[in-house]
Amino acid sequence: MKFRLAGFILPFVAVCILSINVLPQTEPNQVEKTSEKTAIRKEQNEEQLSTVILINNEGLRELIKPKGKPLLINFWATWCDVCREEFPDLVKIHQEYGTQIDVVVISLDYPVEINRDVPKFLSEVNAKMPAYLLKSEDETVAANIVSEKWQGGLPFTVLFDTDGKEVYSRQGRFNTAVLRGKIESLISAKSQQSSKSK
Amino acid sequence: MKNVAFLSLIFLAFLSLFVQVSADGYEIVLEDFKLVDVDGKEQSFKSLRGEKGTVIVFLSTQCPVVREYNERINQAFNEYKSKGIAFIGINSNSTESPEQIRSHAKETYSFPVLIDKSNILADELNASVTPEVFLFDSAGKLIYKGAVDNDRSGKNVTENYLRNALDALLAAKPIAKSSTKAFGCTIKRAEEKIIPETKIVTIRRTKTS
Repeated sequence: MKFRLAGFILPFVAVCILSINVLPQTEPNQVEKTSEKTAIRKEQNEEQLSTVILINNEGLRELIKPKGKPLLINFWATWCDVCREEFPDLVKIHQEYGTQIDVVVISLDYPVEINRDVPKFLSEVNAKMPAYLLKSEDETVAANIVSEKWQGGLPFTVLFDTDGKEVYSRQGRFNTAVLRGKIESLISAKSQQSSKSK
Repeated sequence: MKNVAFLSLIFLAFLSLFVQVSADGYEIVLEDFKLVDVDGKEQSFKSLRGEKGTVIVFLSTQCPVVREYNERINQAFNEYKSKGIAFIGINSNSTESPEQIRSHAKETYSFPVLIDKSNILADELNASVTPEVFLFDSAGKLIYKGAVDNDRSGKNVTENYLRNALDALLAAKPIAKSSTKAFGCTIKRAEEKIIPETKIVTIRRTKTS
């Protein structure tokens, strides 16, 4: 009887050990859901400064879901030279396509900067798109939520179609012409789709 | 019955080990590379690697995240060098001059720093972030790639990925996390690469899944 019991228990334990080892890269949904109920916290800054919203991995997961429009997300930080250099191009893209696509920017600065350097920089470059600061509980998970291709380097820019499919991503400075081309084709595909359905 | 259960356990334990070291579906063995050091002298992986293992760390003179990690990287080097682990720094940023890399390396690190101006080693290892570490065992097999630990600031570290991997390697135990990601600076790759006529990186990739 003891042997038979061991026959059931030992493989079960082994499968559990294997599962723990195989699944380290999967998202710990349950842990995140219970750990920080306050996923999104609004921080009102001084009147002239941009508003930056603090999110965690759970908030990020929600944020990357397109809401009826293609979605362009730029991950950046004030300490990242290339991010600061390319930001004016992002502002122009937002000004030009902001009614047809959603553009959001997510800072990876330390949370202490949410009322300081982050809104200060956004105001300086006249950035009007929704702005967030990600305080990630696990950066491997955060990067994988966004894109398998993202190794964590900044800046990172990703464009999703309305179904949430990644159509463009770039770690490092984005090529404005290439990104504009991708946005244009998403917009034209959407307008063709809507004229067909009429 | 007991034997069957025991064998199942052994089999699954082996399988889990296999999954850990082949997280990307490939086993990678770095056989050799040749790059110049900050004094312009040619160095090779074979001559610099450690008896028990080697840490290759991609660095930058300008990246603030690297600056935050320098002390922790140096501490790890000082602690593990006597245990047969060698550290090799690699600078693959095309935007950083050899002079900058030289003075920064001399001021900051006690281990050799090599210059990978055309990103050849970075391309071969698919390194794209600084700081990013690659741990190889004594046979040159890649057993961990990713972040040093899970907190840039160093104030709230709860997982020492590199140290855990090094300790596991030295204890001949499986590595719990063979790959991680962390936010850092993107390696600024050269627009015009100078590819030498002779191959300078010898790497073996074997598909495992």
